[in-house]
Amino acid sequence: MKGEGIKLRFFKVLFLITFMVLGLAWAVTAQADDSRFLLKPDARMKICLSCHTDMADKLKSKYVHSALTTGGDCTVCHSPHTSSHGKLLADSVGKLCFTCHPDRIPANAKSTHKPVNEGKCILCHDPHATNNPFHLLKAGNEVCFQCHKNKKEWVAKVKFKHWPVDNGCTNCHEPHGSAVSGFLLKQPVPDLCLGCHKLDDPEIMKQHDFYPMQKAKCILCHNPHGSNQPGILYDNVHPPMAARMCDQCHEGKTSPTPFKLRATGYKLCAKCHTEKVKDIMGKNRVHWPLLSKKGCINCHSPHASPQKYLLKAPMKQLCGQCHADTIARQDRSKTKHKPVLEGKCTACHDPHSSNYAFLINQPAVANIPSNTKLPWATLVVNLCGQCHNWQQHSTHPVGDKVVDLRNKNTRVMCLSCHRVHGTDNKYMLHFWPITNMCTQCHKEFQR
Amino acid sequence: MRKMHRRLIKIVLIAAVLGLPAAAFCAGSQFIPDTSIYSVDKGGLNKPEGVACSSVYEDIVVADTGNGRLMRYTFKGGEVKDETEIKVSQITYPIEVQMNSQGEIFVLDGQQKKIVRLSAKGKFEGYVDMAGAPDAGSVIPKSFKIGSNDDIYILDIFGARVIITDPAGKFQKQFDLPKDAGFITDLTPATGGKIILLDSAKAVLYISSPDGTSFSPFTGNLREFMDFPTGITFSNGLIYLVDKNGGSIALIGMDGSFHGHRSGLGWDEGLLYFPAQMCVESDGYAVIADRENNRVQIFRIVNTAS
Repeated sequence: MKGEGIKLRFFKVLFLITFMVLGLAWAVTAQADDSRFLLKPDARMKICLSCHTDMADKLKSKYVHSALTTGGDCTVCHSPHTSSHGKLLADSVGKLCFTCHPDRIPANAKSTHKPVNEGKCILCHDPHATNNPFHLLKAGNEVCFQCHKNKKEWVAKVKFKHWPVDNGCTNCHEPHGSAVSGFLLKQPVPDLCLGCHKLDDPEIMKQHDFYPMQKAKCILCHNPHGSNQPGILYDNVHPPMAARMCDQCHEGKTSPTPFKLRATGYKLCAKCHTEKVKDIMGKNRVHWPLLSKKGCINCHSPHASPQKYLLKAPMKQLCGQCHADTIARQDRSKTKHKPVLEGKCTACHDPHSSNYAFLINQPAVANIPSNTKLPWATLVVNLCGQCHNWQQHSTHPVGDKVVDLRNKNTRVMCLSCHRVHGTDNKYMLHFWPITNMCTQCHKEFQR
Repeated sequence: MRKMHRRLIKIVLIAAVLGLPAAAFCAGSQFIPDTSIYSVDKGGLNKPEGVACSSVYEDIVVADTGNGRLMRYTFKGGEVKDETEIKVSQITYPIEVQMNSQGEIFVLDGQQKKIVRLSAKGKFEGYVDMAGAPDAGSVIPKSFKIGSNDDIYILDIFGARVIITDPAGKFQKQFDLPKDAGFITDLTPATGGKIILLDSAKAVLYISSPDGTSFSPFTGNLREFMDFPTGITFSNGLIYLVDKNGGSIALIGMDGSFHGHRSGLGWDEGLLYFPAQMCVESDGYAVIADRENNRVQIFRIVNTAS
C-alpha cells in the first residue's frame, strides 16, 4: 500500500518536471524566434497597445479572450505587417477561430447553429474581451435575441411563460451545435423535457388523461417558448384535446395500443367534421394529399398549433413543402404577387377541393348563383378582379367570347399574359419586352 | 488503288462497328410537332387531362375532363380521323384513361374516385373492384396503368400501396409505397416486371426491387431539371415525365440519367401549357393531353444520333 503511494508520487513529480521542461523549451524557442526577427521585447502585444489604446481599456473587461491573457499575443490572430483579410487578420474569421476551437461543432452533429457553420463567430462573441461570460457581445438571452427578434417579442408578451426560457436559452439549446437532436437541443424530446417534468406527477398524469406519455413528442402540443394557453399549449388547440377527449380519435388509455387511431386518414376527421368532408368530397377535384393515408394531418396538426386552423406551419412554408417550384418561382420573380409573397395561398386556391383546375376558389359573380359552374375565362377574370380592377388596368378585351389568336380553343384572360406565381419578367409577364408579349397574338406587328 | 479502296472500306466498317454503341448511347428522341386535336366540331376539348394509345388498334382515347366525356379518334399515318364522342352516365369527370390489348377502355373518374371499365365500343361494363384485395372498399386510385399483359397497376393513395390486378380486375398482389417519399402521384410498369413510381413533391423516381417487395430511389432529386412532374410513361427504354408546371416532357434513361426536355411552355402548336398525361402510340408518336391549351398534341418521336 505504502509502495503504491510512493510510486504515485514519483509519477506526479516526473509529470511536473516534464511539463516544466517542455514549457521552458517553448519559451526559449519563442524567444529565439523573437530574437531572430529582431523583435523588441513585448512586441507581440504591449507595443500594439501603445497605438491601439482603446484596446488596452477593453482588455480590462471581466472576460478576456484566452489568446490575449496567456502570453498576451495579438499575433495569434493578426498579421502585423500585411494580410489578405480585413483588420490584418491571419485568416478569414471562421477559419481563424476554428484553428484553436476545432471542436465547436460536434462530429456528426444533428443540428448546427447557422452563424457557427458560416464561421460568423463574431456575431455572438467579441474576439477580444467583454464583461459577459465567454466574452459574449451581450448578456444572457439578449445575445440570442439579436437575431431571434420574433422570439424576444413572443417571450415578452406571452401570458404563460416557460421558466427555463427566461433563465437562459442555453438551458435547452447548445449554442454551437447538437450531436443528439435537431433545433440545437441538448437532448432529444421528450428526454429534455423529462429532465424537469416527471410523468409520475399526479397532476401531469391527470392533464394527459392518464395516457402513457413516455414517448410522446411534447412539442407537438406545447410551445416550449411559452404561450397564451394554460399548460403552454400552442395558441390554437383542437377542441377534443382541450377537453381531454383523447379517446375520440385514439384508442382508450388502457388499450395495448393506446395511441392507435380509430380510423384512417380523412375518415377519422369525418366523424366530427361530417359536413365539411361531405362538401369536400362532393367536388370534382380533391387535393390529393387529403385522400392519402395521412389525410388531413398532412397539413393540419391534430392537437395544437401556433397557426390558425391548426395548420402545421405557416401557409407558404406548408404549401411549399410539395409546391417548392411555385414558391421558388415567386422568389425569383421580378414582380411579386402579394398573396403569394404573403403566403396567402387560399386567396385564390381552395386547399381542400374545387370544381376547377388548380383548385381555384369560386369567386362571387354578379347575377350568377354561387353554385353555378363558371366558364374558365369568366372564373379567372372575376377571381383576379377581386383584388385588381382590371377594367382600369387594361382595355384589352377578355372573357369567354374573346378567342386567343394563338390557340382557337383558348380564350383571352389575365393568365394569357401573366403567370400568377411570377416569371423572370416584370409584371409577371410570360414574355419580355412587352412588345414580344403583344406580338404573340398580334403577329402582324412582329419585326 | 484497289488496295487503297479495300483499306478505306475496312476502316469505314470498323469505325461503324465501334461507333454504333456510342451512337446508340448518344441517341436522343426528338419531338417533331405533327398534329393537334381541338375537336371544335364537337364543342371543343375542355381541359383534357387523359390520353390513351392503343397498342393494337389505331385508336387514341382522350379524357375530355371539363366536358365530362371521352373522345375517341383513329390515328393513322399521321392523320386524325373518325372523331367519336363517348358519354356514359358513370363517368362525370374523367381524369385518366388507358386501353388494354382488347381495346377495352379504362377511365379514372375524379369525382367518384373509381376506375370505370368500358367495352371497346364505349359501353359501360363495370368498375375495377380489385376483388380479393385487402380492404378493397377503401381504395382511392390516384393513378393507374395497364401493363403489356393487360394487368392493371393501381396507385392506391389511401392505402399507400400499389395494387396489381389481373385483366379482369381480380387482386394479384400489392406493394407498400416507400415510407420516405414526399408524395407519389403516378406509376408505370417498365421492362422486366419492374414498377417505377413518380414522387412529384420531391421530384424523385423509385423503382421496385428485383423480388418485387419494396421500392428504392431510382434517381436523385430531379428538381434542377424540372418544375413539377406529375405524369410518368415508359416506352422503348425511356421514361417520359410530364412536367406540368414546366410545360414540357422530361426524358429519363433507364440508368436514371436525365436526357433533356422536349417541347416547352406556350400556346402555339408544338408548345404545351400545363400538360397532364402522355402516351406513346405504336407507330412512335407521343400523344399529350395539353390541358390548359384545351387540345391534344401529337409529336413524331424521331430517334437521332448526336
